[in-house]
Amino acid sequence: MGTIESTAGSSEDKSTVIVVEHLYKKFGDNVVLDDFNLKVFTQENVVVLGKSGSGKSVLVKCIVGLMKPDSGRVYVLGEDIATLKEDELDLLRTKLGFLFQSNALYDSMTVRENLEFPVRRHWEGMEQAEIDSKITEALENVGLEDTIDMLPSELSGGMAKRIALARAMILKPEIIFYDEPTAGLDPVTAREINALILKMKRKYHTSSIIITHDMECVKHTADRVLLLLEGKCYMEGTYKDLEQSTDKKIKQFFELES
Amino acid sequence: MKLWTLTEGNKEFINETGSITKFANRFFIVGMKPRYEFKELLTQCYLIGYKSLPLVALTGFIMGLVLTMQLRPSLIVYGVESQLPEMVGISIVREVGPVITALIFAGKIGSSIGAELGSMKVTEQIDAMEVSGINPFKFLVATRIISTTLMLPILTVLADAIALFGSYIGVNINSVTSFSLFFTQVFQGLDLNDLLPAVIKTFFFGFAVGVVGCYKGFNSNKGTKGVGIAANSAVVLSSVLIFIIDLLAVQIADLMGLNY
Ligand SMILES: Nc1ncnc2c1ncn2[C@@H]1O[C@H](COP(=O)(O)OP(=O)(O)OP(=O)(O)O)[C@@H](O)[C@H]1O
Ligand SMILES: [Mg+2]
Repeated sequence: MGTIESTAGSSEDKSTVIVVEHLYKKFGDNVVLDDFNLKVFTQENVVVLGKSGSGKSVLVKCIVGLMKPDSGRVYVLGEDIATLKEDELDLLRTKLGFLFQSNALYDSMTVRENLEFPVRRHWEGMEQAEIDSKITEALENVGLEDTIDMLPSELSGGMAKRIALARAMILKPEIIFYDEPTAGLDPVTAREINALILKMKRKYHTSSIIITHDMECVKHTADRVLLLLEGKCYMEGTYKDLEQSTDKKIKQFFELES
Repeated sequence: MKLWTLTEGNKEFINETGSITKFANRFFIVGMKPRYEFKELLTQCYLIGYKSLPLVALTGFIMGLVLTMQLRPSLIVYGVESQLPEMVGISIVREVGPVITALIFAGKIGSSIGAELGSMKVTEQIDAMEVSGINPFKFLVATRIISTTLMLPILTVLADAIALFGSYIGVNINSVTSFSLFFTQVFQGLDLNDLLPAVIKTFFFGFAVGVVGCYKGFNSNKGTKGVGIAANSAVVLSSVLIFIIDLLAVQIADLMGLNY
């Protein structure tokens, strides 16, 4: 492990965008992450698979610094996020997009304002026309142009998810974290979302961590799959490896499908 | 012999006092640094200050009127009925105006800040703001604390003025006084030493309401119940703090010889 540690976090190491080392996190007696390790390389879609309550959301929240791990290190774009000052962290986060499992749309703002909010802050002095075109583009991507003046409370669950997705993507960030991007969506829309995730990678060279139970989504978007089980990385491989595996615990995920 | 044992209850009290102090301290360290959220600050001043005007005006008016009608009989007993405007003026400006206005303010604004930030916390909107690189402490907390600190003194001065007008009407129920005579008498009884400490303490009242409301909302527990508790405890704690600050203020003013 020594060689990995020595290169992790050094900014010359362009090939990795996220390095997670020996991550521990527990809530009371509930050990959620137990020596978890992960690397994400540039322009790679990594899918984290795991049962409900296995700690997938906790993992991504630890990576972006919303939760403090009990021990372990997290490097994002070469920076150790535990040592960053508040404004340095703010700056780093402008390069990240995050889709919350709960969507987390600002409920006092309309859809337009939800999308405009991050744009206005990061490109100050941008022309209104340009902002509008970005918003329209983001809404077109998720197929919801006509919701622009609605409030989040007026959207259905799936619509809110797609708006949240549009918001996570609007700044064209270097890394996007998708926490269950297709949950609660019909198969047709889910397929469009999968295509969109791929498009983000191809067109804007984003790397991403995708959390999902949806095997269709895994099949289409994953370059590499990781199975999170009992706080550890149980297995790692491509979708094919997973599909062909004879391991009971891995097979379970496919059986659920049929 | 143990004089003081730490039970769970007072341990929690001490912990909470520490956390609120830290929270307030963070306001001076983080909240005062650029970038400044002027637009949000103005919006909050409008919501917190301007939107509280009708309520504060109504309570102020009634406060002045009632105080006058309650004081009159006692003053008649001592044969100093003519001192009524001075008496009312001093009590309103020094104590009743600032404290009643602050309590009303704590009830209206403290609870709404607690509930708003609490529900934003619970639905992960604060987290969402944080990961998009917008510092929620600056955007949500600092703007609200600054607004409450600046708006409450203004509201108090207005409430004082309206209360004095209410008092003028109260005086005229039983006798006839001209508007100018009444206010001449009021201002004869008042000087800067009455006004200054009273206004200064309202800045602290406003600061307390803002800090407590934001702290409670920011640290709200999951669920609808958590939001309710955040709103409720914000009002209770900021009301208690208003009285504690009032107590300190009168002691300090006394030591400085401003109470005579
Ligand atoms: N803030 C918290 N306080 C206490 N326990 C928590 C907290 N957040 C998560 N947990 C616990 O951590 C564990 C993992 O939660 P997490 O939300 O990461 O699951 P998940 O893998 O995302 O599940 P799902 O697929 O259902 O979203 C759960 O047992 C949960 O009870
Ligand atoms: Mg989850």
